[in-house]
Amino acid sequence: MKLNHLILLTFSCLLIVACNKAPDVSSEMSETFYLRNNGADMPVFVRGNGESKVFVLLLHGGPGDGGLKYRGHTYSDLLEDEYAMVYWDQRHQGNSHGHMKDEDFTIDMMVEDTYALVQSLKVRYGEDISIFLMGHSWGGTLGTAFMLKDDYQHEVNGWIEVDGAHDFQLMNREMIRMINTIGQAELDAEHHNTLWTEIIEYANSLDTNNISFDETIQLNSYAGRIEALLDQLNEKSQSNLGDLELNFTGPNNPLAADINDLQLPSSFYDELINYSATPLLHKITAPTLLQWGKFDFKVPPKVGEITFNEISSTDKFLKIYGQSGHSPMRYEPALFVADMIGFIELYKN
Amino acid sequence: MKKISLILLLIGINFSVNAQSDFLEQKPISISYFGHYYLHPGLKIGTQYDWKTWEKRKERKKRTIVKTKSLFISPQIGFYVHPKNHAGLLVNVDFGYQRIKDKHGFYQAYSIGLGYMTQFNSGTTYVGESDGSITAKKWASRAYFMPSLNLELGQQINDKIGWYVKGTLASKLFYNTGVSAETFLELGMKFNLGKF
Repeated sequence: MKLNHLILLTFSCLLIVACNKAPDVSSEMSETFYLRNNGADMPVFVRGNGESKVFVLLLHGGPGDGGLKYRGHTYSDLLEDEYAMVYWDQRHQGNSHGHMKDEDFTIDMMVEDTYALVQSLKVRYGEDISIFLMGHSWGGTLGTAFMLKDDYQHEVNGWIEVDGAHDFQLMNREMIRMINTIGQAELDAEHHNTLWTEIIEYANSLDTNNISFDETIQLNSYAGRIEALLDQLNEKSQSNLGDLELNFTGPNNPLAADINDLQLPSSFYDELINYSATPLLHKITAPTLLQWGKFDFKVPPKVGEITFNEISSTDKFLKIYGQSGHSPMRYEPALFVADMIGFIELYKN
Repeated sequence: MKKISLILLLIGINFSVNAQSDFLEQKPISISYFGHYYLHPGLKIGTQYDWKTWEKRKERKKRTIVKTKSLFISPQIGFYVHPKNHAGLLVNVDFGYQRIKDKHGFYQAYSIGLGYMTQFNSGTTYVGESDGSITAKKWASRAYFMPSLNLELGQQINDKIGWYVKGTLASKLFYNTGVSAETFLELGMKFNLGKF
């Protein structure tokens, strides 16, 4: 065999490896497809039980986390046993790529991406599938904005909001209130006095009517540190994927995701800090499950309680997890998943 | 359709290589494992044209050290697959400086690359159209300019064959709203076909 023929054969083999396949709708789905919308190409990783015909579209947090950061945990394994989990990298996040300008990175643009992805799932897997949106943290902002736009909420079977940050000023005010209440109790118990004093002093130095994005980042950072201080929390489950798969051999590329995250346009953060969905929550009539950690200082459970009271849906549930922080699915995975399955079974097709 | 076009392109390159065999007989052909982020496997082929070559001698007490230095141009084409994510097709030209120790043939080369990377999405791409409809597209891709910095270490074993290791740091330009960061590892052989 001539050298040139060998080269051609090798290239052809590589092309075949990269070839497209028909949708894999099995009990152990593992496939990737892409969504292209308004300048962005966004990977969609579908894993789990496709035979259920129930697709849980996970809106990741951050912004900037990427969908696959949510995979490989106890809760995601349990959910994949039951349903098809759709891990999507939103525009300019995770492994998404494309050509865009700063003004193409807005909440509304991502709502349109979400809508296009819901339609794409129906095109790919059939109109008879059930689709549930599940948004965590920033994903709660995006999911709420989706539910509020036009009649988009009727495109999905239900909305699951997990510690969702859909009102930044409310979130910050409640965070400061919680810091003062629980922080003072911790000081009285002489737990971590130095750090609690620092946090309380910082929180009380802020103008609660006008908290900037930089101040929000600092509060968020303290909230993360608080979770490590509290004895009331369960141990947080970690990814069961190995370092090699997470960093090199898996479908995710963490370096690309980190670089994307670092370059998110500042104009987006200006939009985010002023975003408040609370006055519009009454428009939500679709079945809604709110899942919140009792000790979530980032997005306090009071935000979940207000949401529960404001939405108009008659099919609404609020679950507060007593040993959880900002990610209850990782602190109390069995209870969290049981509640989620109970909700999905009620409202699937 | 795009897949067929790509295969035709590769066949064309193959025939082109045949047609230019007279030229290539005088140049080394490099074939390497081309690893995107080290472990996303691929293949790269290339050649090298020494634009300017000069020799430098250092006299020592017992021996004379001879180093051959050159400025080179190296066109290459590479392809890799990041499974369940994307595939990349790279057309690239390196401009560099190479220094070879004549005694054992060990060399190092430093180069700057100018490349054009086409990134093919894995699986079907669903496209949101302006009227709100969704269309399915296979082999959807986007292209990026990709400059790079390269460090290569290797050995010319004899006048027919050599080996090399090459590390690359690169960036896709106009990627989302900014740039990307890419790393590549090449492990390859160089053949001087005219000497076989």
